Amino acid sequence: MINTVILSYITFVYFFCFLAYLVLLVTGRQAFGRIGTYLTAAGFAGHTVGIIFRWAESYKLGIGHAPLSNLYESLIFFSWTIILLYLIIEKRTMNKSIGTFITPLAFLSLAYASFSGDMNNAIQPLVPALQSNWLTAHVITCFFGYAAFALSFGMSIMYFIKMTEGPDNKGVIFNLIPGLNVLDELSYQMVIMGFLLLTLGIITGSVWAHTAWGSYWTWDPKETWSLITWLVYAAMLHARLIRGWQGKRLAMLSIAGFVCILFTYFGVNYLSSLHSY
Amino acid sequence: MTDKKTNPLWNILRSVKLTLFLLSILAIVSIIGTLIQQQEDAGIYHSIWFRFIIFCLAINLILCSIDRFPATLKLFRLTPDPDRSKLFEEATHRTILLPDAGVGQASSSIQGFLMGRFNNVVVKDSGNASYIYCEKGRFSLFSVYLAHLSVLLILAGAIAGSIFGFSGYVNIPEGGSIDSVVITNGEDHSHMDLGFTVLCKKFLIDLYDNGAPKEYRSDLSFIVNGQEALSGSIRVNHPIKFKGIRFYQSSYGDMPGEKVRIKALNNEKAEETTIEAELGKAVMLPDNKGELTLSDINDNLMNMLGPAALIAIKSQEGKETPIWLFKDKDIIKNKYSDMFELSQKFNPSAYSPFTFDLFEMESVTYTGLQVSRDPGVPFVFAGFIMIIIGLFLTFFTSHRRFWIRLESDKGNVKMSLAGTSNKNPAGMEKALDGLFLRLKEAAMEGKHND
Repeated sequence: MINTVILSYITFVYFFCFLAYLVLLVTGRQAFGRIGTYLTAAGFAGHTVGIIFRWAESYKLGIGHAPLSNLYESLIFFSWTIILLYLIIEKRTMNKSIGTFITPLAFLSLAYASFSGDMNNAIQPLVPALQSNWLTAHVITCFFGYAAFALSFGMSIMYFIKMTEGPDNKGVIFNLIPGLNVLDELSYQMVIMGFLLLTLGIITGSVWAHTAWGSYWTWDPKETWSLITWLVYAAMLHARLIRGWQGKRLAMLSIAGFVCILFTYFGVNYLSSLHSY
Repeated sequence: MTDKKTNPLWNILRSVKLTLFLLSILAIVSIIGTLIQQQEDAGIYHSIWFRFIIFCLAINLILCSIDRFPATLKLFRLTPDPDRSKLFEEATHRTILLPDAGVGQASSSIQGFLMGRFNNVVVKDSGNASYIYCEKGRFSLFSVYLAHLSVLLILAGAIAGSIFGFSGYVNIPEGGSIDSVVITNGEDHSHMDLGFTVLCKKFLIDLYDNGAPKEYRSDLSFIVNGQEALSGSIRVNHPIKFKGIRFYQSSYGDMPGEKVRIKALNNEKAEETTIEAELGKAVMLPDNKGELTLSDINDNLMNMLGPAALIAIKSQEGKETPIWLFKDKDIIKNKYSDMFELSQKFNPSAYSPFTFDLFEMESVTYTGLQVSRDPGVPFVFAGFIMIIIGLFLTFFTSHRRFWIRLESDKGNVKMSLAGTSNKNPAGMEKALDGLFLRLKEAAMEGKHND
């Protein structure tokens, strides 16, 4: 299928994006930043075309549905949301150093989808439970939320790198990374966005479960882990807004929250769950 | 009040430290729960102590809100003095000199600009100075209470559901009917009478080319006192509601019907006869050697022996011999070699001179329904809507207050602007920059119109 071929090539494009941003960060030469941005934008355009092709292909097969129905399609969509959100942030902050830390996440997600041995990339018909508009709403809100948390995670990693800068430890790589306060604020903004979207994702899933299975909450492991993630970020927001936590402690919480996201996304698949991914 | 403030228990219960602690505990317990979770049963989450943690969180949330609400209300009702010199002593304000202007004219131009764009515009003139106060987003002070109230509403809905609701399932053979369902409550399974009859008139299934189900549908009829009160079909994602109880299409499968075929071998004559037996009905054995009644059918006897049928044979003398016959006798013989000799109840030759063999069981399709009633759902869903609105207002609106000072300065006017916001200081700085620019324009424009 042409769409899987396109998407597997995009994997390499994102890898070169990462290299360009990395060289930019290490050498400080702006030309690499421009290459990185153009490559990422081009990769994103190709990525979008790949998704549209896959969507169209499902209609040709007579089982038309949005490509959000299995692990393969979700990984493709996850990396798409990460890159989309990153491009917006890059444009708004005019800072390209974040790309070094975000593009690898999109690359890894696509690489897992395209090159993992036991990945099923066939377009499958939807089982009856998945034939619902709530599926689309649920998946889109959850993954944009995950993407926002991924960006916050990347910024938190940058925070710890920036922290090592000192009078005895100066290097060109620190020059492009924004200041600690800027990173802290940006990461916090991403968490707010992620939290709102994750809340929406849990709610849409809950309403869907109510119409499909007769119960809006069943303590399915995926549900429980999404609640755990929600609690971690809720605690983080309270710590910042009421207790005034900032900087290092908040960056650590953001990393812990993202670990929860990864477990909700991948780890839970090893437990029995009614989620198909 | 002083008692309350020094009471250590009160101080702990209304603290955000406790909130953070409870959120962490809840997260940790949930993690443990998913790791040790039994196949289908969510025991830990229904335990008393898990509910106790949630109860503590609810109490903490209520007390935190009660503790903070009076201050919020005071802030909400307060209209500050337009003359706030102290604010302008701090470094963060913006100042510009408007050349060749009068305080009165500049003040009225600015007031004209502020009216309709800002709320609570208050002016105070004193000699050669004019002080103006204005603000935006006063109601945003309550947004955090809305977000927290929604959490309580969701919890209340969940409690209402667990007390007044139920959740169960039932399998109805196509063409058959039921009037009770199986309620699952952790390990316990019990029957509950619905008070009406549900008839499955028809079950339809549509498959994809690869054999996976595309759609399945049950045509149901709800019968009260022998009269059909409602009929309709259900599909996955499309339940039906009757008398407050919702019926969901959840599964389907085959179950044994009410007819079996049994071979009866007369060992004396080496003669084999096929008997068709129907549940509860008696059939004569060949040569009037007794009366066979099919008294029970089981899908999977003792959950390991497979499909089985219980026959009871009444001899001419009136003695009854019950025997369980198995469909998968060869498999059972391999697994438990002496099983059929162990008990007369499992011995197919227990009624001489016959050896019985169950070789065919009628199978019917059943539709599997999830049946539930949850009066808490409207509260939970209302809570969902509230939490989205509440979070949105909490994060994206803020109460912004602005103070403008106009002072006469040697034929010019010195205009200063300062402001405070209850959240998002970075956004406030941008808002101050924007407002300052527009105030300058408004003051200058007013001058040209003169």
